[in-house]
Amino acid sequence: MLELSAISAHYGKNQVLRSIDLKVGAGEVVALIGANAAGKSTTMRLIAGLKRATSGSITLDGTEIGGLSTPKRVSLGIALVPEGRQVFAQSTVLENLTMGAYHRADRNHIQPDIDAMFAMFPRLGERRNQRAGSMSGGEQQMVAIARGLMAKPKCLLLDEPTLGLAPVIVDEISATVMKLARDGMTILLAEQNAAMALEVASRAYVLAAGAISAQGTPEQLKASPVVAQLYFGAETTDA
Amino acid sequence: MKALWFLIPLYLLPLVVKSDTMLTVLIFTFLLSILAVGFNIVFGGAGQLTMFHAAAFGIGSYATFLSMLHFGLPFWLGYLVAVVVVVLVSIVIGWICFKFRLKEFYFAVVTMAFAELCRLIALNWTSVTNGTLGMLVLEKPTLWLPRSGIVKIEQTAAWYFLTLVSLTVVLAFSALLMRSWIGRNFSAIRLNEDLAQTLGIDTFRYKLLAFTISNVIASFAGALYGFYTGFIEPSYLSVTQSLDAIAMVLLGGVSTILGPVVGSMVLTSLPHLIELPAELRVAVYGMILILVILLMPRGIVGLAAGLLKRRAHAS
Repeated sequence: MLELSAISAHYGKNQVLRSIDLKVGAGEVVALIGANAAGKSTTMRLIAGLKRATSGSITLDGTEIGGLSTPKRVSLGIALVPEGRQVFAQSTVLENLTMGAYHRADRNHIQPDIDAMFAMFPRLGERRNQRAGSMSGGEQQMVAIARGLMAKPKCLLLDEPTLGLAPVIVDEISATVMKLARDGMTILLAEQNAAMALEVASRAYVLAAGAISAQGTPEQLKASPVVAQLYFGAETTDA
Repeated sequence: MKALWFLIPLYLLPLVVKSDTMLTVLIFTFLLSILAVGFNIVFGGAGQLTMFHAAAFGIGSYATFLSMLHFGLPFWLGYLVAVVVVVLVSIVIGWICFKFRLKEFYFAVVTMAFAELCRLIALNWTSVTNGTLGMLVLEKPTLWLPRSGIVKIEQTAAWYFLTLVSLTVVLAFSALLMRSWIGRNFSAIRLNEDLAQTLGIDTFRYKLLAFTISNVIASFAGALYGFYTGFIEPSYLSVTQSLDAIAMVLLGGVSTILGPVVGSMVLTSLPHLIELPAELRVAVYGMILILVILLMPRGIVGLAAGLLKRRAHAS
């Protein structure tokens, strides 16, 4: 469904992505794991159109989208939930969700979708009229994910949804992602928390210093010594 | 639209107040309110700190008068020419600024540079603008009114109602705009531009729209201002003029409908009423501005709304 081939990107003179190849099939949950500054967010921003690649191509269902503006990509079915739990803090939960359906033409289907979101995230339903900024970090992340889903995307991009959240909230978010996957949603998940990402994903790419250093199923990656050392603290066994 | 009720007493005021001085002060207040309401759309609405509104104000008065002078147009058609000029200028400048993703400070500095450029043109294109000497405007706007036919706006009372009606229309437009989906897109951009973009909002187009609307409103204030005072000069386009409008919006309450009007009331009417010398006025402006930013960041209207809410909660 979504395919990146030979994507490179720069910030000024610094090359931040080196010829990335990445594929997300329909209905797949693919994780992009890597440390801070490995290029995860840049990749997500490139797919959403918030940043331009220096070279390479991005296709959605076979159509090149690399030159399109963000609004065009949203209407083609790409929704980014940006990192850092970004919500419209002054607006209510309900308003935030409504904004998520911004580009949709099917105005009369929005209310049923909002109801579906409240069924999926009951806590948001209880607080639909609360200002999003006054909610806890985990709840704000739920608002952000629900808002992303309100765009009715073909492919949902989740950028670091667990960053800075308590372990119990991380579990909740994993459960949400797995539920979305069961419902057939295509998801690309950028995560620093490799344990969580490998638990929910069907395939994963490891990004290090702007290049893909490993890829495969979670089992393959967990077994790989490079990944184990980098992300599961296996180096402590050396001592 | 509740904000408009606030203007009703002003319609009745001339029945009680017969002093021309008082009405004159209010006419200036209304004119500068229109400028401030326009600025509030791009700043309080879409969050873009423009410094171009004084230039749009000046272009409004120059273009209206010059097209009347050279093409023999009546005031309102002359103003239509000014609108076309301002829209074109806004699109060019806005396009440059927003294509290069200029934000906050950088946007303010670049728009200020363009405003200065316009002022320098008005100052140095002597053959057309008469340069620093300015231009005397003897023509008056005319209006067609039922029963009385074509009326020349000359008397203070006529100007009072013309400017007040203009302010009412601009304020109603701004209230409707802010509540529409366009206004919601503006706020989304103000609150979080990146996020607005990921939701599919064409932020470039909406910023350009906000900038253009705000400049057209500023040019309307400018056109009326030039014809009311009967004099047009390059200082209409000056940075201080822009700063005055910013001060009004901040004092009255940014992102509120009525804020710019309240701010203009305080900053235009008060100095006249307490007969402050001109030199002191600037100092008092500065003091008020500092105090407002430190003590009530949401302005007078924001503060009042907060107090009313608290009262409602307590009872």
